Amino acid sequence: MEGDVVSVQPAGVAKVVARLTQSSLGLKALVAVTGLGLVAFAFVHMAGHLQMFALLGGQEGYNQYAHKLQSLGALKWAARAGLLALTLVHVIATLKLIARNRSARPIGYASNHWLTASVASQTMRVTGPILLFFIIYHLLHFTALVVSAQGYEAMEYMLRDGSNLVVGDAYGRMVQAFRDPLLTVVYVLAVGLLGVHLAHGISSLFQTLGLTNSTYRPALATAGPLLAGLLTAGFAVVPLAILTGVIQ
Amino acid sequence: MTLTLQAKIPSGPLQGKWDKHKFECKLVNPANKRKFNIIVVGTGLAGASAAASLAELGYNVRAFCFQDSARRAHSIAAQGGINAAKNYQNDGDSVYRLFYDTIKGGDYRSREANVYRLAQVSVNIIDQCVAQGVPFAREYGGTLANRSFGGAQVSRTFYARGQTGQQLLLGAYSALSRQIGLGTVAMHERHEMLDLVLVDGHARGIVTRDLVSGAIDAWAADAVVLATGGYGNVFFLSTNAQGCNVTATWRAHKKGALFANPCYTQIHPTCIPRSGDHQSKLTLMSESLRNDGRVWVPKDASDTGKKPADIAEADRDYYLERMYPSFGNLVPRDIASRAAKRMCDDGKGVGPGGLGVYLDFGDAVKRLGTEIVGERYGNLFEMYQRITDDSPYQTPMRIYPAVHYTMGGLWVDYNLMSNVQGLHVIGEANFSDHGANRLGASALMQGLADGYFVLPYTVGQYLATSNQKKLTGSESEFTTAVAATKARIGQLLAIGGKRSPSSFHKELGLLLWDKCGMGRNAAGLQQALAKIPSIREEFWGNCNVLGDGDSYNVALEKAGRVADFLEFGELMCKDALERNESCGGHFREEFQSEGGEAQRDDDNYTHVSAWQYTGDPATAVLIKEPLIFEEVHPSTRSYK
Amino acid sequence: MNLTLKVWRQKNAQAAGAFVDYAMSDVSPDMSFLEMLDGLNETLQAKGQEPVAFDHDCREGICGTCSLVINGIPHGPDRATTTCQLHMRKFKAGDVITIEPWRAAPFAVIRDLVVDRGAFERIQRRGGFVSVGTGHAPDANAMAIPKRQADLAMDAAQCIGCGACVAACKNASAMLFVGAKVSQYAHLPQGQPERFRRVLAMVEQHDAEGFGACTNYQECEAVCPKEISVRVIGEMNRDYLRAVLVGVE
Repeated sequence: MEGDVVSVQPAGVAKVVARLTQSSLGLKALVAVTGLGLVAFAFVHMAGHLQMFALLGGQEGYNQYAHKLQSLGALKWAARAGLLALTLVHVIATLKLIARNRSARPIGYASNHWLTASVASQTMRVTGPILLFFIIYHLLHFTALVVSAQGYEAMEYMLRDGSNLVVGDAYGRMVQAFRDPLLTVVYVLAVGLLGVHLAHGISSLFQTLGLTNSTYRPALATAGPLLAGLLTAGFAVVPLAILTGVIQ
Repeated sequence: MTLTLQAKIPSGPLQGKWDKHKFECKLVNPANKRKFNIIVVGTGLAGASAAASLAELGYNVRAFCFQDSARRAHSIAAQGGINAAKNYQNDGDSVYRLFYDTIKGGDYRSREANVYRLAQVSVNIIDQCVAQGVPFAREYGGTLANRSFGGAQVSRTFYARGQTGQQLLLGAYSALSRQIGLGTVAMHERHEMLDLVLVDGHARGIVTRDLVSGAIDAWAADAVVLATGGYGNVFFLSTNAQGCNVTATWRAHKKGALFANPCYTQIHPTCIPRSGDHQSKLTLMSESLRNDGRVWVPKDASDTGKKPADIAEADRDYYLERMYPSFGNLVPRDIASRAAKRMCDDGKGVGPGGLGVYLDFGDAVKRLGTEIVGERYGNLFEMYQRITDDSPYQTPMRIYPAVHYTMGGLWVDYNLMSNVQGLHVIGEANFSDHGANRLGASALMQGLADGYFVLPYTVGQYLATSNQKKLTGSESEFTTAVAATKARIGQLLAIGGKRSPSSFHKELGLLLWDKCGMGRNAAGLQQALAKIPSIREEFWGNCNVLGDGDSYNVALEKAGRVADFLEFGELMCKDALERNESCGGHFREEFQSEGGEAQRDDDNYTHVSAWQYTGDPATAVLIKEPLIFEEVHPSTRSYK
Repeated sequence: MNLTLKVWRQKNAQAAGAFVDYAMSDVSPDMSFLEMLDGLNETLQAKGQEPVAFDHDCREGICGTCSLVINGIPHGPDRATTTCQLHMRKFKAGDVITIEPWRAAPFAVIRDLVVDRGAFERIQRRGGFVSVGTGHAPDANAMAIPKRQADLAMDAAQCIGCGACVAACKNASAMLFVGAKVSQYAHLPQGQPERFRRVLAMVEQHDAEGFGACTNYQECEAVCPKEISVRVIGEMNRDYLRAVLVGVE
């Protein structure tokens, strides 16, 4: 019963782009698709960090992994550009939607009462900007090594994979960073907020992209917070393990 | 001046009349259709379907409704379903059987030819609605589901959960919306028709008030269609929506259109009784409840104050089962209503004021279990509980009859045109198809039959033959009507008395319910006829209509409608007094058998009573249209 | 019981509005909310003050005319219930009840608590129909429709167009309304030929009217008197994206 008999008059690519970037549903889809990309990256990123544990890699394994990523060359820059683009589209489309939503209700209610909206959904506009600032901080911290990164440049490590290459000691930097309780608190709080953001974001993106039906909708509604929780836990466990001395 | 009524029923055998007539109707050339303007007032099932169908044919249509959307007309409230002689259940239904049931149900006071046509086109209605995407109930095999309704012996009722009226109206509304989008219909919401404009004796336009801005405008057209519903709200308390009113048809009546059978009102037996003086409307509970619920009152009037659970089985009088053993709780609406009234008149009514009888699901719950009863009636039980705070699963419902539908309306001929040339009247607003009592699930059928399948042909016939000059709406007839309408609004605003418009409505309604409601008698009707003019006089001397005419003014709207009810109510009582028989919904207490059943007087009253306005309802002139039965022979209805 | 009402009063669309307090006495728990307002209006008129304008018609929960945001909730505290079916037994003596009109840029206040919902009409006219003229229909049983599909269509078709979804949505989005119409036809074979055209046009009109975008708060579903599920929004989203990506004119 899907729309196979729908007659189609071609619209032209310009129209497709216009609809995606102007209409409320098009913009929502852009936020959802870019969000999906960012979530996928976050999972890979989180999984990479888990190699900090001795069982999954430890200092040698983690540093090898970091080195591999660094030596991807053009691919690395392509990935970075891609992530930047995803973030920009996610933010700009959201700002456009917020502007539309604000003007849709110029006069508010004297009395407000939420019935079902989750805390996560109500705070998207708060958690989003905070996460953006955190990501910028995070990049300045561990990628550009210009903030909270005293002595990071000097920390080096010789790979024991036979190449004897001397690379930056990403493992050591992490350990040093999260022995500081303040930094640990900042990072754990940030990934906590990421979890709150995605608790709404993940189930919401399935709805926005129309990837639900009555059978899967309840499951997806639970899957969102569950996946978000997993991600938060996966991110938070490394700093906490360092702070408590499990990772040394 | 004497008027003779030409019903214009085609000659020939009943079965062929409509086909023959359609062939004989003059056609308007397709290229000429766009030159004709048609006004449709009201956008319920009849109005919306007519406006859409006429626009599809190529006419320029202008539609009006007082609601904020065409979709909100009161057709939306019909719960049960729509009849059609599809015979999908192979249970012996046919066009002829639907015709016969409708004639008999109407107590032999309707026109054979109209009713037969209604039964004929009923099958097209279902086709049309399904094609529009109306989500009727279906069987697992994908075919349409049917149920038996209102005591019919065949399953010919199509339904969409408990919202058939809403879904059918949304179907017609979607067709109308499409035409509005295409620019063929100009839609005016929140506009109320306040006058009909005649030019050279033909209906050529209307005067409206824009309810938001207060602007009074005249609109010219080549034909006018009224689809403005019934007048049940004359009783103040009814199952009608708050906005339902008689103004459009009454204004047309005052311009010369005859009002037929105003005394035929239908009382629905299963409504929630009133709970106090604050009550603004009565809520209908679907007739289907009587399929499993048992109706009773205490045998002893002294038990009426007890809780129902404290009244022993032996002390209960299941009066419908006792009086009508073969139909039991499923007797037609008029019979069930009157029986309830009789019980309450005998002091056996239960609840506040003794105006209620029990509808008990105790046995049904025992027999079928809570789950099945919930499946069948859950929604209705919830609605009942919301209103009364009682759960019908645990304690019997209390029900009482309430005014529901009005069979009377403006007189129309076979073409659905009134005696005023060019003025067409469709749906509940006309009188034509239900006689003295309407069967369940037939109102939706008639509204859509008129709008989709009858009027589009017959309007063409009128337009092709009327040869009237083109008008702009600035002719003197229009400016005079606009001035008169403005003057009347000014008059209402200038009364400056003490009482609110609603208080007069309530006073009139109580009087009519008492004297011209479920049971009527000559003495009571004479009292009402004496009293109504004095209420009217007080209204025009002591009503207080606040605010101004140039803005959204609910008090002014209400006052205008009440003023018309105050005139119409008198005609209704006059008609009831003149009809010295009992038939269908019209029960004259003097004319009943020993067993309390209605007694018709076929020798003297097998006619339509059409009333002509003379300047005062008291002196309205009666014109009779004899009803001729060629196919079926009037017999006494028996449900014993 | 005695109550205090804080009612939004506004002479017309241009005028500034304000809350006015009214003390109500002897309110019966058996009254409907609107009958309580009828009572207020009778009292006001007796004092020579103009009655409070509010939209209402059938008073049995089906026409979709009545509105009112009652203590911050469209149609008040009772679930799956329109204002006209809300009864005063849901309140207790001494309550202060704030009564406001639907608030959204496309729903201009006409007077007091009455708003203009014409935007819904214009959305409907862009595609809320099957283009089938009177008389074009084949036999009603010519096409079998699975009961499940018919039921899903009916679930969506129950929308009464009251606008509570817009009133409840923090973004004043009308996606539940649009989704309900789109979903009804999308589940029926009759709706297929115009499926893409419909969703594109109706969403375009929704946006042009100035409604906000859905952010999946699901408040609309919670206040909907007919309990229309946000499932219909997901279905509309899918159809819309398909139509956009396929490149339909």
